[in-house]
Amino acid sequence: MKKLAIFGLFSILGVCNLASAAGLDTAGFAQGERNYFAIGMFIVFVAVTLGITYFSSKVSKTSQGFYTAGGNITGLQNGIAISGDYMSAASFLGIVGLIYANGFDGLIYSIGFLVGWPIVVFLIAEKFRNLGKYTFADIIAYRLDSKKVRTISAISGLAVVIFYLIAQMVGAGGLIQVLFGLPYTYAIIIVGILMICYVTFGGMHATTWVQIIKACLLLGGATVMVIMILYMSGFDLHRYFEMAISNHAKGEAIMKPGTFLPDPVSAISLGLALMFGTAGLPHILMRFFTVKNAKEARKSVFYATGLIGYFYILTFIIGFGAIAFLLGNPEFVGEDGKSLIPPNMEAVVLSKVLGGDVFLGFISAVAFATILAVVAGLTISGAGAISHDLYVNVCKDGKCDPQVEMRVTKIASIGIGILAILLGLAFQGQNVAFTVGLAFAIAASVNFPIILLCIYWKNLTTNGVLYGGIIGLVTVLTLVILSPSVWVSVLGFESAIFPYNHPAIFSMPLTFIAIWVISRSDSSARAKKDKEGFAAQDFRAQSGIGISEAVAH
Amino acid sequence: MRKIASVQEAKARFYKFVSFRNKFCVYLSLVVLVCYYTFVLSIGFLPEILGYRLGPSSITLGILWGISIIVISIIGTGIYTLFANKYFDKEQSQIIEDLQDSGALESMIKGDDSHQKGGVR
Repeated sequence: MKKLAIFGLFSILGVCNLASAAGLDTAGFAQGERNYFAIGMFIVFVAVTLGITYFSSKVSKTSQGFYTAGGNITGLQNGIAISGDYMSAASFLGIVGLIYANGFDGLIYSIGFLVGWPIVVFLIAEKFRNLGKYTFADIIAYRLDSKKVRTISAISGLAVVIFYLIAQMVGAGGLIQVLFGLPYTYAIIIVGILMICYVTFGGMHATTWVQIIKACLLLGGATVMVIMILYMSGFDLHRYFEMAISNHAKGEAIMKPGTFLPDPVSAISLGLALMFGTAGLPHILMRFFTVKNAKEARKSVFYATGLIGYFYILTFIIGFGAIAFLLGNPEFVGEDGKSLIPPNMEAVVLSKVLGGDVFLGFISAVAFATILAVVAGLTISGAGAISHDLYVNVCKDGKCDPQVEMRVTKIASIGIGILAILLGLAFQGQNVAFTVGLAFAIAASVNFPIILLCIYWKNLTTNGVLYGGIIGLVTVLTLVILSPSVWVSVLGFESAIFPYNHPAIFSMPLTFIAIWVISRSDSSARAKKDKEGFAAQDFRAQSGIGISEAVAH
Repeated sequence: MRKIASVQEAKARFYKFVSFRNKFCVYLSLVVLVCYYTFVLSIGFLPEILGYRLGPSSITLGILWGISIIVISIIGTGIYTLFANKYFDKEQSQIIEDLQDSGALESMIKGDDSHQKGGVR
């Protein structure tokens, strides 16, 4: 462990050296001048989180400790951590940027991201806690044939994790380049190494605390920003919106739905993906196993929903604040009336206008911390899918020496970290906007139908999950590749074969139907066993008798 | 003193309770789904209605509705969490005690029970 601490120190020193060596060659606006406050803040964050990682390493020696932090996280802590996992830099900078460009349309995203949560608590959270142990595949494998269903669950879970990681890594590289004046490649490597350290040495315990600290910083920073915005508009909402309307080129159109979602099919499809995708994200679902019982699981979703909802209201105010205070400022508007601010940097620029270099530094450091925390959460759930699902339960039939399992887990974490670095480098400068949408579409069209039917439908069979899942996954991937966001924007063809960017309205019902038809027509011996297993599973899901216990440490 | 329930009574109470709780969850989910999808559908079909200004202020119906959905979601999860933690859990632990006293618990855990109920779906 000492080695880790020393290594951490060196990497921090490395950041300083690189930052001072990087000079002014980064594109963009004022970030060329390095913000030492931001770098200082960030170093403090890294030092504190690596310290926590050091202490967490004791908890994380067993698989139970590694994946669930021993099951001893409280509802409130887990709620904050869930919100930390969910409020990515994309949702902070991205939604503010979206509102800045389109006004009202940004709100459509925030609401979609939030409305999945009530569904999670009403239908999934407590049953999930009652049935599962480490990963969401545990629930699917409860009464079905473990090997087959874990294989498809792990593949679709990993697909979600990897697509989400691409978006985060590329975003991180770009962001750090602009904020800290650090070259893209170094930024990606630093993020990758830090996330490997958190996850490999500190497991879920460290990841949870990284999330909690990050969530508090992000919520605190955004709250201060909103208070300043409201103060500057004299706490008069009418005046504040009027300023925004008069500044924006679209005028009053920013107060109502615009062209962002061109047709009802796209609107509904995006709505489905955002809402039900939330209920199928493996790194979020995994968090329910860190609390001791269904009651704490419920509480955690309540706190998480409250915090995330509050956060989205803040981003809404910040977005309109950016229109009111940045678009009105000639410093940020070119002669043609177009904004000079790099895309997605509106929140950061606004922080400078509101609170000077110190606040800019704070918000920059928070944005970086946000990315680190989210990638750590993704990594641990990916490692769970590889080690617990694929290695132990598929390759080793569930019988594995605990020490070997831990070694595989750590190798998997390091492997995912390295993969994330490579993906970040491979996709540098490319348009990866579609990857988050793709991750949500897979979660909504594959994971969510499987999980929901598994918990509530008696006649679900192994083959239904396996082949239904494969059909869903292939459909989503095909439709996204053929959609304008990949076929035209990435591959450069002239017109898309599939006209919609969001496939969920087609792929989600298709998966449900496929699973239903295959399960219904499945007359194998295994299918009989699957159906017979439902009563016992349902009793445990409802009553919580026999759930995996928390461990004392 | 609570009288010891028969196996049938205890089981019936359990299934009744579970189906009540499932219904409660489904109704709450429907409230959220209806609020959200009417919003999404209006974005698709009736963007002008969402653009109505409320009185003299510049705030539109769409913004008010959008923020309300966020608030409704938070209140909805709050209501469920409160009910479940205050009443459902208590009721459930009593019912499970009954099941245990009547001797039905073992067979329910094993799942060999003829009275099978699907869930909400």
